[in-house]
Amino acid sequence: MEHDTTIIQCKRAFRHPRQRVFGYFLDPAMVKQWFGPKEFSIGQVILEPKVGGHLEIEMITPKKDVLWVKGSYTEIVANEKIAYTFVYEPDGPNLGKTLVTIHFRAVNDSETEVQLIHTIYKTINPEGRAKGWEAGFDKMEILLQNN
Amino acid sequence: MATDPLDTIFSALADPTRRRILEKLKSRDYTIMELSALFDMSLPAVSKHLKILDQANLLKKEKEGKYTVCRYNPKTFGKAIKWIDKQYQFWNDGFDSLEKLMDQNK
Repeated sequence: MEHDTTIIQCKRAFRHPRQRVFGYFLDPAMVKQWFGPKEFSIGQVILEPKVGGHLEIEMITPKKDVLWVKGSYTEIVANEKIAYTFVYEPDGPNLGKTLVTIHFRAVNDSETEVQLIHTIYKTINPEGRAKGWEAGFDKMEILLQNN
Repeated sequence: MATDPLDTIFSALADPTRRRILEKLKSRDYTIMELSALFDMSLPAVSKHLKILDQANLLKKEKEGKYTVCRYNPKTFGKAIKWIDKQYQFWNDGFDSLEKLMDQNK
């Protein structure tokens, strides 16, 4: 059986215009400065922001282990949406491929709401988009949702 | 030894009926017959769900006399929650840093 399952939703309002916020997700120099857990440092950042383009981010853990986030872009809509596959290498959790979808919504001219949805999916349809899914982890989402 | 890779756990949990079954099993053990009646499902239908939960190691099936009893396995569920928590922290930390960075660069 094939499922797509949301595991995490993270929402945040930024007090900056949408175009500017969007740009911070695709500019390697910026991504290097904000991506990943606080205690990690970021090494190389390779971003090819076009459908099918690669994304590789090197993360250095506090123990100096090197962990990569790798994937490829499945959808980019300027100032609105970015989606890419997401795997940890070399020894990520046994999840198969996951998908990260980020939506950008202009609250007004100077405020942008960003919603990040991290999904486990089994198949990609020919358009490269994750299949639709329902349900998910209602309780966990409520528990973990960032207000 | 049973393995419980996260993708198997998440796939098993993706179905609302299976989540409801697990919810029930958290309070006490149930036989397959009881679950079938409780969820108004045929025995084969409920057995199919239980098989998937069993494969994900989210429950244990044990023979007690002529009945099969299903028992919730909190350890596996905890593993999934722990991973979600960690991954959530990953994005939340990133958003914190992004917010600071954008404010600095204003």
